[in-house]
Amino acid sequence: MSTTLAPMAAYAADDDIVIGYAAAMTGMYAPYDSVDGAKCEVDRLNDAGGVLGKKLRLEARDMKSDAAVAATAGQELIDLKATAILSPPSDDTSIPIAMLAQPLGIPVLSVASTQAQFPQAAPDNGYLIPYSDNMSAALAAQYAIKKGYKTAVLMITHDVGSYGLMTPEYFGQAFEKLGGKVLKRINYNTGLSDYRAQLAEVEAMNPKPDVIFGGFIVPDGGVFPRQFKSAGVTIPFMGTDGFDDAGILKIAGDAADEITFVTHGFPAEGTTLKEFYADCEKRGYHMQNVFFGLAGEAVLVVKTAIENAGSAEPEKVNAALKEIKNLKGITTSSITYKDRGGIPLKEMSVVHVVNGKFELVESGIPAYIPAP
Amino acid sequence: MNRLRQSLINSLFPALLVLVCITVVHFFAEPFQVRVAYVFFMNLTIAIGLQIFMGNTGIVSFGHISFMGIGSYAVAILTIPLAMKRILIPDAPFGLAYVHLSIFPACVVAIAFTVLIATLFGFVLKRLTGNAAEILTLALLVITHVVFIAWIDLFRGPRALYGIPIVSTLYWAGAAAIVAIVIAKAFRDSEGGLQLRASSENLLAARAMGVPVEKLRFRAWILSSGVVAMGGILHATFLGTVGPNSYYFDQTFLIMAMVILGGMRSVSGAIIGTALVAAGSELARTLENGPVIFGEKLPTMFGLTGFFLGAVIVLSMILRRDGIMGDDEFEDVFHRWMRRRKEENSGKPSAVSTSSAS
Repeated sequence: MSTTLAPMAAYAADDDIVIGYAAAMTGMYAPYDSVDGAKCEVDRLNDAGGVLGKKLRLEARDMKSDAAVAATAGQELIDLKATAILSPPSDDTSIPIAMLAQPLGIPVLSVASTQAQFPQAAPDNGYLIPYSDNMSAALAAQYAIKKGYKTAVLMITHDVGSYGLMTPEYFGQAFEKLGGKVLKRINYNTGLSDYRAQLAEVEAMNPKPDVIFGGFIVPDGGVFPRQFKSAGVTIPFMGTDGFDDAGILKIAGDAADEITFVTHGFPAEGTTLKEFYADCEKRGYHMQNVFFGLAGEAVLVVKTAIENAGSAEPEKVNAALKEIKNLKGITTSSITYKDRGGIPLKEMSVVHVVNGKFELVESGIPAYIPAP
Repeated sequence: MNRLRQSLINSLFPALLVLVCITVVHFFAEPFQVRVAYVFFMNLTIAIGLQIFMGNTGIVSFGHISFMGIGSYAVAILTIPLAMKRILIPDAPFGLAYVHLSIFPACVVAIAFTVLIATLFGFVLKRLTGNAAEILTLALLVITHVVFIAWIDLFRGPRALYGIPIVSTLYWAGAAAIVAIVIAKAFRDSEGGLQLRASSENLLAARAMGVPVEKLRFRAWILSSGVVAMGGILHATFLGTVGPNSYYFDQTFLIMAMVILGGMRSVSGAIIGTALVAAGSELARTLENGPVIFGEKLPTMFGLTGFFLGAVIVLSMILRRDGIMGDDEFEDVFHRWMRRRKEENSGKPSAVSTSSAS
């Protein structure tokens, strides 16, 4: 229709391999996307010689946590001849991008979504970079059983999308499958500073549960254990990556030691994640949270697919992505996309708090995974 | 009848603007710019829908975006193919899991349903004025959002519904905007519209003059809900997916900024406000990415759009509290300009002679 941008696009196609990133730089999803993490990995790969003799280039656009803007940003990235597009952390913002990219066979990878809905809605070219919530909850359940917990209470909230709603249910399914029992479901609202109502409900229970599981995030993931402990009710709290934030430790205070959670990876000494963080800080990037590592991992996954395809043509890259098996990632030592329908099977980390510090307990893949 | 014809004539200029805009985009725009233009027309339709109520009644409404959501979800639930619905919402109540309409009947039903909800709500709203009415509209927004999120069987909760046929194009959006403009103009120029604006200036005086305030307020509410629902349908049938977060505070404040900047009492104001905010945010979005201008690479400045929106609102509140157009429509500005020219022409000789004398 017009030629104004065409020379630029052609230039890109000749010279660099473009990876697009429709990122939530502003708005409610902003904490979950990390352009810096993706940029850092692009720098690292280019310093190591690029891919197929070419350099990678990251084109990032802000989608402002809005579905319509996400589609516009997606179209812009497609016009820039992106080989693959990294997408925002929710299904309603990622699906429109995947639908635009689908006729061209461009793979679309959500950097931070842990919800299986996106790849289910876009089975041809939609992928998650993280595990899905049903997997992390299943690993949490497996660990809870291993610890000898027999009964559980599920804390449920409608405030943070399906994370607060479905993750506890996945945990419950896996927990009961493995021989545990869910005693009760208790509703709460995110972001309050007082959970005495929920505390009273648990206090009234007889017998008390062995463990409490929820889709906790900051700050309620810290407020809950603190308030329970100060009332003399010491019950372990479990959750998933919503706990993976140093802010939780400060909020929970003494009670932080009750917290155990499953997350994407843990920067223990000698791990790839630790090395990635250190290298990126040296390059002048600022590391915010684990999504920094996941954004880097997204670039790594795309790069691996390009290499395996031997071409930067989107369709071939998309096909190669579906074949990735046991890839050593940044946050984890094993990523498999083959026969997983866009949701990677990844090794996850179980983390707990000892003396006010996060510590790695173990890493693993759950044996039983409830259907998403 | 005469008045209606006059409003149709007055609608010609803004309608022409829309057509010119479509033509330019059709011939010169990149695919992504077509999407920007589409979103502009969608927001224009919604902004004008909001203006019909806010501009005439003087009541600030936070609730209109819920009509956008209801329209979107209604059209989504009616048009998603049955096979897909069996996966997404198998337990939908009222047998909705087995209902499938083609797009046009679905749009009609969606608008009718939105208007029905607005009617029920309108019975309460029409009795209220000022802050009470405004809080009630805010409640409508929150209630609708909670229903979308909590009624999982029907709306799939916080997860997106997808599979809506993507049938809408730039031309449909432009057509919707033109329809919205005509409706808004016709209502504004009607006897009822004038009376309603009078009641927003001085409620007691208007009542004393026999203005049926409740009835007119109700009418404005219903009309505007239908127009906003149209915008919602444009949203759903363009993206192919709906999620509850698209119809909440972010969208509400964006549309409000557009209407207030342009001047909420004027349809032309809503058009200008929407155009300025849309152009400004698109410009800011481009600048954010750190483009190369005259060989100079600008730094990336994410968040510039938010800053721009805020600055626009603060500046317009300081400099022009009634918005850019105030009470005026395009034709008012035009007529005034004509009159001034005529006066100048008639008074010209003396003006020329004095200036030449000095």
